[in-house]
Amino acid sequence: MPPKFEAKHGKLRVTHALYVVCLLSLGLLQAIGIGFFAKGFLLSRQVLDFNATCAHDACLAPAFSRAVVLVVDALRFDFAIPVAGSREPYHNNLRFLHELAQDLPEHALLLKFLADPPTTTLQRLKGLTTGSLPTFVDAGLNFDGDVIDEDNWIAQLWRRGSRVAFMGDDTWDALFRPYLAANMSFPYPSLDVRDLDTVDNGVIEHLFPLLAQPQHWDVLVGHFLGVDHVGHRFGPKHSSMRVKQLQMDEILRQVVDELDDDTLLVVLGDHGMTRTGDHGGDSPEELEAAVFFHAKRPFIHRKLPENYDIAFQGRNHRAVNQIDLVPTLSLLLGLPIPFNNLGAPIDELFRPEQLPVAHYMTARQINEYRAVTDILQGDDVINGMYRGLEKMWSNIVGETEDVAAGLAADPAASLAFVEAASVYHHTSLERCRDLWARFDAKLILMGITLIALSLIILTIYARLIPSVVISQMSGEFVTSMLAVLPLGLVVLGAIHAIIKPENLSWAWSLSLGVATAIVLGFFAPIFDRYSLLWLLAQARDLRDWWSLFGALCIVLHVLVFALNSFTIWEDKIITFLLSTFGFLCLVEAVKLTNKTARVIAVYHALVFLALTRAAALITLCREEQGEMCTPTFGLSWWAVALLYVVAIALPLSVRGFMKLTSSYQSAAPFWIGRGLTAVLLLNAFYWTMDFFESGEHFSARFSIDEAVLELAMLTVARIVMGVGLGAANFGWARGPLCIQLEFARDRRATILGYGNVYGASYLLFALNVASVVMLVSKPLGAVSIFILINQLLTLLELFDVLSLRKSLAAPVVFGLLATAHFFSTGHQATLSSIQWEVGSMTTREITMPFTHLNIFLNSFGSYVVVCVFLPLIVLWKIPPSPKPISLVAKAAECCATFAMYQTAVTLSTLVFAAVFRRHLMVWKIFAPRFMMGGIVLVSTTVMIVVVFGFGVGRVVKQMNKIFGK
Amino acid sequence: MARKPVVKKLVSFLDVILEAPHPPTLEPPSETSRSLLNVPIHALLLIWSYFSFGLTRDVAGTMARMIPNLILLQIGYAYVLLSKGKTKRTKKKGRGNDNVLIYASLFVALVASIPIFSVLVLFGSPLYDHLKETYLLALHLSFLIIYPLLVVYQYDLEVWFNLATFNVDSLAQNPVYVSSVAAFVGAWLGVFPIPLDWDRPWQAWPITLLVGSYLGYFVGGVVHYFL
Repeated sequence: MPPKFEAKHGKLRVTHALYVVCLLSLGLLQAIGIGFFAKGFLLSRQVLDFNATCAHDACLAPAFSRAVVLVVDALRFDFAIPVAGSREPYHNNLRFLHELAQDLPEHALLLKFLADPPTTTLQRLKGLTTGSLPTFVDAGLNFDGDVIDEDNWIAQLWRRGSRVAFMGDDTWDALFRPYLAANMSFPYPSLDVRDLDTVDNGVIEHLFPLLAQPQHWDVLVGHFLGVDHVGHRFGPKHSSMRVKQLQMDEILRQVVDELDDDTLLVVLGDHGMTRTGDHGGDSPEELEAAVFFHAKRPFIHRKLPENYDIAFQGRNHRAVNQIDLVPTLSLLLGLPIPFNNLGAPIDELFRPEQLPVAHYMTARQINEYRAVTDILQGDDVINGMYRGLEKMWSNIVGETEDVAAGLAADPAASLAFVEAASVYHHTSLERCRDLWARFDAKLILMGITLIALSLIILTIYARLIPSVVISQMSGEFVTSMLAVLPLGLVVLGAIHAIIKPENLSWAWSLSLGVATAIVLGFFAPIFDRYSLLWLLAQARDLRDWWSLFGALCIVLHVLVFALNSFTIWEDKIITFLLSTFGFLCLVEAVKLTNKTARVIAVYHALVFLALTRAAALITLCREEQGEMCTPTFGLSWWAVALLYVVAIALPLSVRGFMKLTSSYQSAAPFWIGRGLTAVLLLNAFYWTMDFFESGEHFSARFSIDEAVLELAMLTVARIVMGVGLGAANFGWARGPLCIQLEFARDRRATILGYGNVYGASYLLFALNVASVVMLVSKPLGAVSIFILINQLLTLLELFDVLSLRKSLAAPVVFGLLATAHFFSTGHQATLSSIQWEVGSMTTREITMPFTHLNIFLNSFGSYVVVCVFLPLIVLWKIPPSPKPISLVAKAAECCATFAMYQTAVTLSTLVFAAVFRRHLMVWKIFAPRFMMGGIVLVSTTVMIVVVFGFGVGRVVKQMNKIFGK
Repeated sequence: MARKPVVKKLVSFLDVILEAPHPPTLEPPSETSRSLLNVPIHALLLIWSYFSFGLTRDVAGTMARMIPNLILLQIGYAYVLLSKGKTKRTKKKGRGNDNVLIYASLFVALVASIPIFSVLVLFGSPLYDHLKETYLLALHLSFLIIYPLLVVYQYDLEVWFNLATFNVDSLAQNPVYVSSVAAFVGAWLGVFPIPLDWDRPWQAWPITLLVGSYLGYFVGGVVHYFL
């Protein structure tokens, strides 16, 4: 290698590395910004580890010596009551609870049971045992639930020396393991929602032997998951739902037969389910579960009959909060009420002479809790109410301190006390709900500022300063960042040490220091060279129509989040913008004077339009879209069949695109013709097995052993993941080329594929990643990704013919496509549309990082695919460049422009989530969209760094070695 | 480097040469000067009449029933447009030719509703339902926008090509064209109020697009008047 070339190549390496560092630090800045915003917006509750005791008459005498608590996951209230005239498969199956409550009104009681959102099982179990309100941020931690550190009735039982037997959903095991009797604890994995029966069969297997030996345990907890899994898997309107509910009905009948006189039975649903069978949000269908109490002796003191009206699917039925179970159960079992409880006793379950005592004890516990909680203790209204209660109580009890006599002497006063205490519990709960939805404005503002700064830097970096200059400035950026870093750390560290800001721990202070260093590190060289006016005058981009259109798309997408209705219909709006782009391309294509170019361009524009419309046909409606939206995203035989079509069609269409530049050479036929086809066929095979496993009639007819099927599915999924994420990329790093020498007669040679050396080789890498995304997407999602890849390749041709490579419009349209396919792969910006079940594709149990990776790739697969294809805007269809550094610079500019667009969109979601933090819909619409925006921003930046650092770097360096001088 | 530089120079690859398109100038069919008669006030009247005849109560029915009215007024408008053109133009073609043009174009406009329908679908009109409404919208757009264009620019493909690519020299010379572009922009803007949660009857598909296009058509005429 000549030394001159070596020096040049070395310079290329250094420049590339500096770019990677710059992009990485911008990503870090954004991650810190999102972190600050999230910390301020998703305020977490202060967890107190005090435990209540029975001192000072805080416990009642136990009314029952034993209790059986059976959780039927996703037992919605209307599942448990008769619904006249309904033929839905989820109605009128579980008849037993209501029948028993009708036949024995003093022995059994069925109530509506209101959950606090988020309606995910982990949060519900925490609420049902501690009596506290959940915070929004816990929802994401549903995976690795940690041992609960707040006071709860399971721990209270353990402290008293009672034995708790447990069987069912292993979330309990994660939360309460130390408190459960080890020899009577039977957890089963809960995440694999395909599996409808393992957990339930396990519960049944251990439940009845233990019921027969009540001397071994004091409280028995069973958690059935079947109903919930049927909902996730098939939705409520499926025959499996009837089968499952009838099974639950039968089991509950048997359980009641086994009970002895001194045992309380509680059957409860932890949440409901939406009409699609999911949960997590806060719609009435998800919030309204059922709870049922029963014992062999009369203990229920019902209110007036109109409270228990089951007409209109129980719309007017009396409801209690789920956290009300906590004081109720604790008092009935003679336990102290858990320290953090905010619930109130359920009136029907206490004898009239005991009810005021129960309410008094609860009020005293709530008051104690409030007194030690920083943000609650100063609330004078509530404290005043409590003093009023104390006064009433001492009047009733009198100086004799004989509670029973005092209550008996004045029934009217004790009724009034119950009334006042109920108001107190209720008001206190409402105030807490309000408080915990309170935000830390300083942190929110800091987060928004950091993201806004990163947007400014990206805009200057990507669009205002010419890419040639940026490639020279990269070194300056890195140097000045390193120079300012110690300063930032020291200053923020000092601020932390001296001023001691309330919400800033060491880690947060230092990360703010890092963020400051990054911002200053970028601004110093920029403003050293340029004045603000010069930069503003550089809005050179907006001189042509295409860039104006790109800017218009950014502005419109940013404005979408200003209104809840637009945010709800984001999917349609994005598709509309894409169609508009397609038509503009069509008009522009018709104008081309070169006839070949015109035909090519018109063809691609039409294909792009048709594909965009086709992709928009796949949609998973969100609840708010209501009847205006027809859901099409579901598992069906033709969706699985389409996967086979895709497996054949994708390699063919990619081949077609590559043949345009004659670059379907050497590595390509093997990589795409064989490799990609094989992987896609494996994908199709996986989802076929999944389909067989899900349809009962199929497996019955072919009598496939479930264990074999499961093993086969795991194997296939692991092979595809291993190949697509590992082996194939390792192979690609060795440098496959898509060129071929062809010798003509006259001893001259032609290099086939010379015109697309970078693009063709890079495409192989992009397809590796795309194939994995297609595996973890459900069948119609994979079809959507297939359409996406074709759209991207079509766009690359259009950009080339219409010379749009450098335009602002190119990366923006890529960004729009990513968002459009986020929706058409069966997602919405809601928690309940997360497809948790793909987590168990490669591992049956929750395994970091595979479970998380699957769910991430499933949810944000479209963004991943688009990021991987992004550098092709620059690299596609160009011959080896004599100036590789400027090529790297252009690729970086393109990536940074994409990042700029994503930053603008995410900034808008942050700003509007903050602006509308008091809006009725904040937790339904704005907050989930900001969470999605935050994840998208951070992950696209990470993807860009990977794609630019690994993909672009590899391909440019290799081509420079081969063709460079 | 193993490869000799000579080889590289003989390499062939696909390259598309882009020539700057130079527009053939559009022959204005008439020397239409600014005239209040060219302003399509009837578009405003029509859209107002649709609402008073119950557009919000029965979308498809009203849209279908009102098409004859639209056609009648558009025929009148066509006569106005042609007569304006006639004042200075040599009277090569007689009235008879005009009549043929005006009535034959009705059928062409009817046929043109089909491509407009497919454009609407490509832009995201519902495919599972509301097909009737979408097609009626296509009919309205065709008679409102395409029909006057047909009458004025007749059947010269090159002229139409220039119209479709916004390759028009003097907007002031082409009032109908300005109105038509404005009507399309109006229809494009018409989608934005649909998702709003105001629960108004006029948010029903495709009323906003209909109103947008009619208003656009009128506004285009007004804008042209002041050009």
